[in-house]
Amino acid sequence: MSDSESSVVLRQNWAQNIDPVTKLLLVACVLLGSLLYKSLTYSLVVLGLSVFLVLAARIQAKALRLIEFSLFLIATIVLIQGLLYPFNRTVLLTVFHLRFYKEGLLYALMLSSRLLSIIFVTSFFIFTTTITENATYLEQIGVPYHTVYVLISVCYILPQINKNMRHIQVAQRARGVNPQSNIAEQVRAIIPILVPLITKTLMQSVERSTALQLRGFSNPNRQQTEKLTYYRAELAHRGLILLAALLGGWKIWMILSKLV
Amino acid sequence: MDDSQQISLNKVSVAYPGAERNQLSDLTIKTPAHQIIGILGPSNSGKTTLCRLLSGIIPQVMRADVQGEYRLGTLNPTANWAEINRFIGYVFQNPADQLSGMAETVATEMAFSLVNLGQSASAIDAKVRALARQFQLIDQLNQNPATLSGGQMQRLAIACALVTDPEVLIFDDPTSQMDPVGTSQFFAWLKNQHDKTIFVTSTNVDALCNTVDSLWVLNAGQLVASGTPRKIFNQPAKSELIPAPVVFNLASQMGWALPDGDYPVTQAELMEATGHER
Amino acid sequence: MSVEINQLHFTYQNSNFGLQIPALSLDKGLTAIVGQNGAGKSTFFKLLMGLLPLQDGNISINGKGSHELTGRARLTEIGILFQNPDDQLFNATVKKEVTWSARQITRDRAQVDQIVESALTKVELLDKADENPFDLSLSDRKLLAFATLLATNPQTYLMDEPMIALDWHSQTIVLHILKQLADEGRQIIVSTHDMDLVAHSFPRVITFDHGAMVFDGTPTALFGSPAILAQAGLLPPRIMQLCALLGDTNVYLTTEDYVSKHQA
Repeated sequence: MSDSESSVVLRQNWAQNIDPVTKLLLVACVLLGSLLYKSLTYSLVVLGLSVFLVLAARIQAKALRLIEFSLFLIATIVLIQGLLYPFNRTVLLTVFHLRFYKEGLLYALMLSSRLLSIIFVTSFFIFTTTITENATYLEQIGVPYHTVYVLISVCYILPQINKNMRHIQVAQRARGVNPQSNIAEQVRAIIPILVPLITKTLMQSVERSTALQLRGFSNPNRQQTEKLTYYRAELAHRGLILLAALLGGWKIWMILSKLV
Repeated sequence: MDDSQQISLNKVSVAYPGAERNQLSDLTIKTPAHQIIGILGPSNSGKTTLCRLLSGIIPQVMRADVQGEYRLGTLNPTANWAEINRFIGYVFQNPADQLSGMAETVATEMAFSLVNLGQSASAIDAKVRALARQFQLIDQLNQNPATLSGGQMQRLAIACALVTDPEVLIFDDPTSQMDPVGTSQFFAWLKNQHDKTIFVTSTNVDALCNTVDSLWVLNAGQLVASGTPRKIFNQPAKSELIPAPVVFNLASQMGWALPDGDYPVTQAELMEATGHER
Repeated sequence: MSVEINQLHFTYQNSNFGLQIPALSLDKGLTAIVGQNGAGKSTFFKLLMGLLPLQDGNISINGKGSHELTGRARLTEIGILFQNPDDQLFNATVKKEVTWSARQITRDRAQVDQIVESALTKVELLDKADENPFDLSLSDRKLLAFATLLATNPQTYLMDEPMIALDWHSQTIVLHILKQLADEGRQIIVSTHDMDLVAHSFPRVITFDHGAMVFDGTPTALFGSPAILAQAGLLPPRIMQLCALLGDTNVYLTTEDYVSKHQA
């Protein structure tokens, strides 16, 4: 029995009317925008906007799963900044003789908000388009299909590893391992099979490449027949590129004016 | 018969990079094109490697050390890949390996090779529909290919290989995931294909005998026997390598021989040997 | 040593398909499960293995509830061989693969080594112990998966299409081992499309059709009921198909069966 990734069914969500490149530009703008000011309030506002985007697209469950991976990074940030931020002065709490300072923790909160904003807007891109849609659109706007193929091969690796890992977990369960309850157990169960997991994923990549070549993918006569249409794609591209340039330029201006 | 109508292999050997031994050794055979050839043998005998060689996957897509010369009728599998791959249809052992990963729907998946050839949307649509009807995938055209059952996926893989009207078809164990009804439908369809050169590997000896024009038997990378099914099974026992078809076992134990003394290996021959032919 | 099933109902979410078994008792020995693709054979196996949740009814394996068994306790009772060996293998070498399974039931080094050697010898893969499973042929990978099952040696073996992808020699090896296990008193439940196999090796066969059990009895009885075969979408063994062509519609399980009945 084959399973399927919960791929997006055509156009049921407003977010699917926005083209992939616009979404990528949005990620770039949020990235530049979040770096603009170091104030906590500003970062929380940007975070708020990203969260709003995720909720509006109804992908909050999937986005939260993506956040799980960043929790470790955020914990590290909180730890380091809380203890060692150079402007630390007021102690907020003491754990095992380690002093966490208010200034550092607030700074960590600001950094974490930036990180989460970027993750949320990236999840907007990832969970409202499928890899094949991205590939088709990129080819449509003129990216050479060989480059497209390389890009999607890379994009397939993570979901493929995920899928293979789930298969392995079912196999482990069938062969006697209890379903793991916490992260520590899960990690311990995965380590011995990491190498075969990666080997298998890479082999699948090679097999797909063979199949594509067999079916004439490298033929210079390749011509797409399906043209995807989106809502005001060109306008959105121009607008967002302009925005990104403004944000980038503003930041550079701020840096330069401090130096002078 | 001139060479363009022959399948010929001359001292062909194949070794994978880093392997100690040849996967195929000194294969030499000459036989007419436009027939159905069954490839039999134990696992590891080189059947898949032979399929890859005949289709050009080795050495064009998969690197391997190849020696000797070979051609399939008018096709030279080592020629310009972009030109010849449309004439060769290949069905992988695992149908999921055949998916492009670039198609949302079964229809797009089937159209993939034709899009690569730059054909028009209407031509592609017509061809896809015709094949979907033939392989009972019409209801699945808008489905995601990854959600098909094993048997459906195998039919899809075959349809994808056929979409460019290839002259040469290579099937590596095409019915392993199908149930018996599906399997007999496949071999019945296969038997009706004319003017094509077809290679089929399978463990289903009975179906092969009933369908193919000749058999190649491989063992440990060498071609140990070739000829019509009847000739192969009427030779002294190869029962360690491949089991004989039920027809042969029945006829030889009951003493039902054909006029020339051979025992039958196909249903038609059995009817003849027992005097039931129509 | 038995598997008892009572009032089992299972439906997949998002699908109309439902499996229903009012009552079934499986004893030791060889039992075949047949039916078209999609009739419920895989679902049945997954329920027995606890890979699907028990929605309704109960399954008891050798006296214990199937979904209460965990880890090592489950392993010694029941084990499964999937149709696709790649769904079951995830270690770096042949030997490590079997060792992994052996270590699920014992930590004793010497015992593990002995189990591994015994299992690999039975399937004739001992000389490939250090190879990477991906480098093996599909047939050998299937044998390897079988070896991992032999390593845990459960009371009940579930085999989903064990003969698919095996070459002929490997099929004889596996069948020989299964018969030995059945003689030892273990329970071997095999799902298969191969009616010839059912006819010549299985004393009991159960037929599924659209999620329901439509037959439970001997192969002779099954192949003597054209109505049930037609309903379940099954063909009789090849010898019977050939005899039908020759105008003989009696039930024959094997070629030898026919020959012994027709030679003076």
